Amino acid sequence: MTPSADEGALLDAVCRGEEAAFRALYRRHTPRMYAVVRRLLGARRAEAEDVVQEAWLRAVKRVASFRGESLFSTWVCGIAIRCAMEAVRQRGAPELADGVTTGHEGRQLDLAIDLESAVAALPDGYRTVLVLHDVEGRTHAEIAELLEIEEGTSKSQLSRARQAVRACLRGTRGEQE
Amino acid sequence: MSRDRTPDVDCESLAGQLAPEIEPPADLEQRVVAGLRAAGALKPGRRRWAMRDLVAAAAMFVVGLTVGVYGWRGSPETADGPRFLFLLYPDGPSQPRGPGEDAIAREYAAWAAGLRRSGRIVTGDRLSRGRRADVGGADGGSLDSTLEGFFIVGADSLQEAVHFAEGSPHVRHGGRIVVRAIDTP
Repeated sequence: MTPSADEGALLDAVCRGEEAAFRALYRRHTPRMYAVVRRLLGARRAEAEDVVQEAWLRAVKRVASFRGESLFSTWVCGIAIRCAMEAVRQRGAPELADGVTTGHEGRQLDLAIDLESAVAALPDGYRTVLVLHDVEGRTHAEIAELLEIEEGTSKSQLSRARQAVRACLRGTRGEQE
Repeated sequence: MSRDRTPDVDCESLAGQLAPEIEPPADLEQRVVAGLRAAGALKPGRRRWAMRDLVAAAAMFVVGLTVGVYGWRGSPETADGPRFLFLLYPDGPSQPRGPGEDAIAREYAAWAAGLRRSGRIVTGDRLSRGRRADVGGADGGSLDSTLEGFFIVGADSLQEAVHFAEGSPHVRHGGRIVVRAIDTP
């Protein structure tokens, strides 16, 4: 997939180290990167800025190797996702739980919980697959490659993640009543 | 998000319910750029406009050092804290330098001496009109050639810097001063 002429010119300029071109690229793609990184980090979303910074650092260093086989946005978000996953792993991911979300984040949900909070409160493994599949639109094959897991694992994690979100939202509704 | 959503929320349509983009903090861009510069991945000087600014500044510096007609120059780095660049332009096209110039020069010198005594002036000079060159820039656009001189002045604020500029003989004689804060890390 060839980048658009405009994006291709920007990428060439970034390869030459041109700051103005990078800023244009940054403004175009960072809101999506930031959104996915925040969601992947869940309760640790305060680290999202550092993760996005690291992702751009890696992306710019590797931009010369971008072959245009995918959209640049997909490519650069992939780097951001890997950086976010590293951050999650470095800080120790909580154990996956069957069924309803548990733990500190879950107990802290207030009555005004919304879907965003429900996703943030999921255990890391559930949240990652759910965000990548249902929000980012990645396939199970892509998720399996990104996370170095089996496709079947991705599917089962997604199913459990959806159940957990439903249960979380039902529970909140019940408390309101 | 509504509180009375149906219990069986359709999680398969999450993509439509969660915003695909979230605006990052405004200062993140600058932090990312600074990180890339520090890593040597970006070269801010390669932007065309930045290069022109650099050349203009360098030309101004060299010419300023070689002319020194008014003897404005103070001791370098005598001002602590915020510094401001005063760019001195004529009111309209540059006028030929004539016999009355010495008197005006003395006014400038007296004004500069006052600021220098209070440690406000870092440096300054008048620029040559004839000895100049434009270097670089592919679009053929010319830089402002009417710039007559410059000062670097220490002031606590832009407001104070403007106050100093308003009291200069340059403004008194109808000239114009552009005051720019010098960005320091």
